[in-house]
Amino acid sequence: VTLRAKLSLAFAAFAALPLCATVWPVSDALSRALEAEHAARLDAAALAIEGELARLGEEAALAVADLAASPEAEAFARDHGGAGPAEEAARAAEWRVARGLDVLAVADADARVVSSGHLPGRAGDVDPELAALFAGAPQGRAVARVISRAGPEGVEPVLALVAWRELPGGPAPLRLAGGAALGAERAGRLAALTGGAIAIRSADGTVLADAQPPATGAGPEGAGAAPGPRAAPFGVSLLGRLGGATRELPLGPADAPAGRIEVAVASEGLARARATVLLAFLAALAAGAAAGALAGRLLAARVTRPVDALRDAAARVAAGELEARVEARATGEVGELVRGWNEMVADLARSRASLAHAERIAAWREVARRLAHEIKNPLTPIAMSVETLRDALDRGRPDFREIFEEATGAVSDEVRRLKRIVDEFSRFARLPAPEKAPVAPEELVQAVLALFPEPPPGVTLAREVEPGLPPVLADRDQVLQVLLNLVRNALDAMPGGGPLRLRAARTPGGVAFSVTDAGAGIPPEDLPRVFEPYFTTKAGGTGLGLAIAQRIAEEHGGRLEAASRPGDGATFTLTLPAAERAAATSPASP
Amino acid sequence: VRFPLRQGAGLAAALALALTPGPAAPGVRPAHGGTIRIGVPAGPGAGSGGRDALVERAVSAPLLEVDARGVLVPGALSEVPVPEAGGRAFRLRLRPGLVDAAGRPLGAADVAARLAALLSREAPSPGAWIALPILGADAVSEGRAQLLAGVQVLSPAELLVTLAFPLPEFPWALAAPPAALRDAGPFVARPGGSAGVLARNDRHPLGPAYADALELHAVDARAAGRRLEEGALDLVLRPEPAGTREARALPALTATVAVVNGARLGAGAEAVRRALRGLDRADLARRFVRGPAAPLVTIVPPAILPGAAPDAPGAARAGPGAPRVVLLADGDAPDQRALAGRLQVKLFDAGIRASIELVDGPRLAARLAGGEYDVALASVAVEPLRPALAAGQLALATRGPAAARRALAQLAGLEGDAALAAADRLGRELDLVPLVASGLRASSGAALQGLSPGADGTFDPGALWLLGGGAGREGAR
Repeated sequence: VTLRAKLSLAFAAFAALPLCATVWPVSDALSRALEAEHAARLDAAALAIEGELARLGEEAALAVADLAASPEAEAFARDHGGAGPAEEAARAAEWRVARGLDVLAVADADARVVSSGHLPGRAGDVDPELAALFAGAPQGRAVARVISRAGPEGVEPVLALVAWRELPGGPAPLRLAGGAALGAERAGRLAALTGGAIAIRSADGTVLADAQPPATGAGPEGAGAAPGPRAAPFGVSLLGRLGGATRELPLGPADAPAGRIEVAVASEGLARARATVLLAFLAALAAGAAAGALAGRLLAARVTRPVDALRDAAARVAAGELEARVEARATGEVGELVRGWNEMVADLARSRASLAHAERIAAWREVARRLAHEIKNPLTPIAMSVETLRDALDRGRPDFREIFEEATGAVSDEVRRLKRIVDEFSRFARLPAPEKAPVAPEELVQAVLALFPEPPPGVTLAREVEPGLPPVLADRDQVLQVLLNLVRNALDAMPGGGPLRLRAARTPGGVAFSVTDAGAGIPPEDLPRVFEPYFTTKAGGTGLGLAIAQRIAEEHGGRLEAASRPGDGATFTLTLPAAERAAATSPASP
Repeated sequence: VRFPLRQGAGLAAALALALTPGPAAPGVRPAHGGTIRIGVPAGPGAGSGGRDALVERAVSAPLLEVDARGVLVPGALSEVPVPEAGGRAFRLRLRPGLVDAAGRPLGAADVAARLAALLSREAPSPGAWIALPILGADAVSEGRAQLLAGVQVLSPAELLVTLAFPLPEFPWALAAPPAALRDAGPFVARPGGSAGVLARNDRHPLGPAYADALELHAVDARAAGRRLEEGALDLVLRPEPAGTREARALPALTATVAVVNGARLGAGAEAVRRALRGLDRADLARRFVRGPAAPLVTIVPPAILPGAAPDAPGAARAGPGAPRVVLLADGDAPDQRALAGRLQVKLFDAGIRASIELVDGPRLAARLAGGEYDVALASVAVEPLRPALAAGQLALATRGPAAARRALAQLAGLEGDAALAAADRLGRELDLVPLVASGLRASSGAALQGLSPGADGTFDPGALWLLGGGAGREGAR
C-alpha cells in the first residue's frame, strides 16, 4: 500500500468516524419510538377484534335462543320421530339460511345429529364437536369451537362462535346449536375493521381463514403488513420489520383455547421511515468518507510527489542510469533529502568513471606484464643461441655447422612459441561472433573423438551419448574448439594414463557435454579461478584456454562449469541450449 | 340420468300398469267426467321431467301391459308374443282397428318405426334399452340404417322381431312406456293447450278414460298439502306425504348408484370403492331419502329383485395417499344432494376428502358420458318389469349402450338368487356402487277414486275417476 493510499484512507476514516458514532444511538431511539407507535396500533386492532367477536357471539346466542323458542322449532321437537328422518334431516339447512347462521344443527342429548345445516351428511351420527360443546359450554352462551362443515373443497374445519339451547316441548330432549363461523368472509371483515391482516388459526396452528386489509390506494402502507408472500420494500428487508409484528388473541378457555386470531397491522410505513433515516445517515457516511478520501489523496499527492520522484530516480540509478536526477521541487527536510540525493548520485557517477579508468589501466598493465613475461622466456634461449653461433664463428670451430643447426633450430622453436603466444592473445581479444546452426550432439562427440584415433598410451576413451538427444544451436567449430580444449586438458591431467569419459546427456532445455578425467583433480582454492584469463597451473600455459571456452559457452547462451575433488579427477560440463528452445526464446537466432 | 327420467319416469311407471278400472268407494259406480288435477314435484329437473314423462305415458298406448296378477296381457298387441328360434325371435300381432287420437290407422310399420326411433342419434331416448337387443341396433344407432334389420314388417298387422342374443324378457320390454304407440293413449294433448293439460281420447283402443281431462301441476311439498286440502288438487305424487289423508307409498323404483371413474382416480379408486361399499345403505335410505326408500342390494331395485339387505361393514380409514375426489350430483334432485352430503361425510371419515359439484341433469348426463367425473351419483327410474331389463336400463344410463347390452345378456332369463349374483357381479364390473332405491307417495283427495294398485303397486291414470264426475267443481263437465 502506497503512502498516498494510506494517507487517503486515514483522511476517510477520520471523516467517517463521527458519523459512525452517531448511527447507532439515532437508530435505536428511532426504532423505539416507531415500535411504540406500532404496538399502539396493534392494541387498537386487538381491541376492535375483541369487540367484534363479542358482538358476533351475542348475535349468535340470540339467534339460537330465538330459534329455539320459535313455533317451528317447538313443532319440530314435538313431532320428532313422527316425521321421517329424512324430512327432519333437511330442516336445519332451511333454518340456517333463514336465520343467517353459519352453523346450525339439531342433536339429541347424546349429540347424535338429527339435522345439520352446516354438515347435512352428519345426520344420524354422534358429532364429537357437538358433544364437546354440550359438555363444556353453558347453555345460551356463545363460545369458540372448531366445527367441521361442508365447504367447497370438502369437509373442512372452521372456527366458530357457537351457542346451544334445549328445544322445549319434545318427548325426547333435543338441543339446538348454532353460531357464526369465523371464515374467510368474517376474516375479511375483521381485516377491514382493523386495517390489518387477519389469520384465524386452530389450536394446532393450522390457518383456517385469513384475509388482507382492503387496499386504500395510499400505497404499500394500506396494502397490509401481514406475514405473507408479499416482498418487503428494500429498506425494510435490509433493516427488518419492527418487532412484535403480530398480536394473538386466543379464543375459548385460556387453558385450552379452541383457536386464535392473529392480527398484523401494517408496519412497513414505520419501518420505511426508520429505514429512510438510517439510509440517509449511511449516505452521509459514505459521502463524508469519499470526500475525506479525496481530500486526503490531493494532500498526499502534494506531500509525496518528491518522495515518488526519489523512488523513481533510485530505480533508474539501480538500473545503471547514473545521470538520473530528482527534479521535484521541495522544501524543508524533503528538499534537503532531494538535494543530498542528487549530490550523492553525482559523486557515485564520478567514482564509477574513475574506477573504470583505473580498471582499464590495470588491465593494460596486466596484459603488458603477461606479454612481457611470456615473451621474455623465449628471448633468453634465442639470445644464447645467437651468442653461441657468434662464438663458434669467431673461433672457427669445425663443428660450426652442427652448432649452427642446433642454434637456429632452437631460435626457430622459440619464435614459433612466441607466435603461438601472440596468436592466443589475439584470439582472446578478437574472438569472432558464433555462427549458430542446429548441430546434432552425436556429431559433435564423434568429431572430437575422431581427432584421437590413437589415444595416448594408458588412456581409455569412453563415449556415452544418450539416444534421441535434440540438436543444439551452436557454431560447430567453436564448440568443437571448446570440447577439444577440455579433452586436451583432461589428457594433460593424466600423464600416466587413465579413463577419460566424454558423455552427452539431456538437461532441461538443452544438452550437457561433460568431460571427466581421473587425474589429480583441481585444488579447491584453484577451482573458482580456473576460468580467469591468464590463470594456469600448467608450465607453458597461457591461462587463456578455459577463459576462451567459457566465453564461447556464454555467447551460445550456455554455460561451462567445473567440478572436482582433489585426488578424484575433474569434470568440465558444457551446457548448450537445444535448437528448438533457443529458437523459441530467441527468434532472431539462426 | 342420461335422460330426464328420475321421478318423472317413476311417475310414468307408477301410472303404467293396472289399466283396468280399480275398485271405487263401496257401493259407488265409477263416474265419467271431470278434470283430475295431479300435483307432481316442482323444480327444473323433477317437475318438467316428471310432467313430460307422465304426459308421454298418458298419451301412449302400450303394446303390452302387466295385470293385477303380475302377468303380461295384451295391450295394443292382440296377444303376448311367444319366443321363437330359441328365444331370439318374437312375432308381434297388432290388435285390429288401432287408430290414434286423430283417427289415423296404426299398424306394424308404426311399431317398427317406434322401435327404430328409440335408437335415434339425433334424439337419444331413455328407452333405447328396449331396442338394443334387436338385430341391427348398432347400424341404426350409428346412423347407417333407418330401420332395424331385426324387425320385419310381415303385414300391416304383424311383424317379426329378431334379437341379436336370446332374451326371454323381451316381451316385458314391450310393456315399457317408451315402446308404446304415441297419440293413442287414454288422453291426448289439447291442440294449442298447455303441455300439462290433457283431454280424454275417445279413440283409445282399450276404452276411454273416466275423466274428461288430466291436469298436471308442479308443486312443492308445502303447496301440495295445502292445495290437496283445499281441493285444488286431486292427487299429489311426491316423495313426502301431502295433506292429512294417508299417503300410499309407491314402489321404490328409482335406483341411485355411485358411478366410480376408476380410470380417473387411478390407484386411489380402490379406497373410494371400499369407503362407498362400507356405507350403511339402510341408514342412507332412512335418513337421506325423503320418499319410500330401500337399500339397494344390487343395481336392480329390490322391488324387482328382492334380496337380503347388505351389511354395512364400515370403511377402513384410507392411507396418506388417499385421493381427493369430486362428487358429481344433480343439483335439482334434493335426494341426490342429501346423499352426496352423506357420502362426503363418510368419505371424510374414511380419510378421503371429497367436494361436491352440483350440476343440472343434462349436464350430469353429459359429464357421465364424457368420463368427466371422479364419482357421480346417478338416479335411474327403472320400469317395474324384469331384473335383466332393469339392469339394462341402469347400465345404459350410467355406462352407455354397450354396457346395457352386456347387462341384458348377462341377466337374461335369470331370476332369484342367480339374478342377484349376476346383478352383483355386473355392478362390480361396471364399477357401480348400489346405494338406495326410492319412490314416491301418492296422496289423494276425497273425491278421487280408482287409485288401485297393480301387481307391483302402481296405478293407471285412465282408471282414475271423480265422485260424481267432479260435478260442482270448477272446470268439471
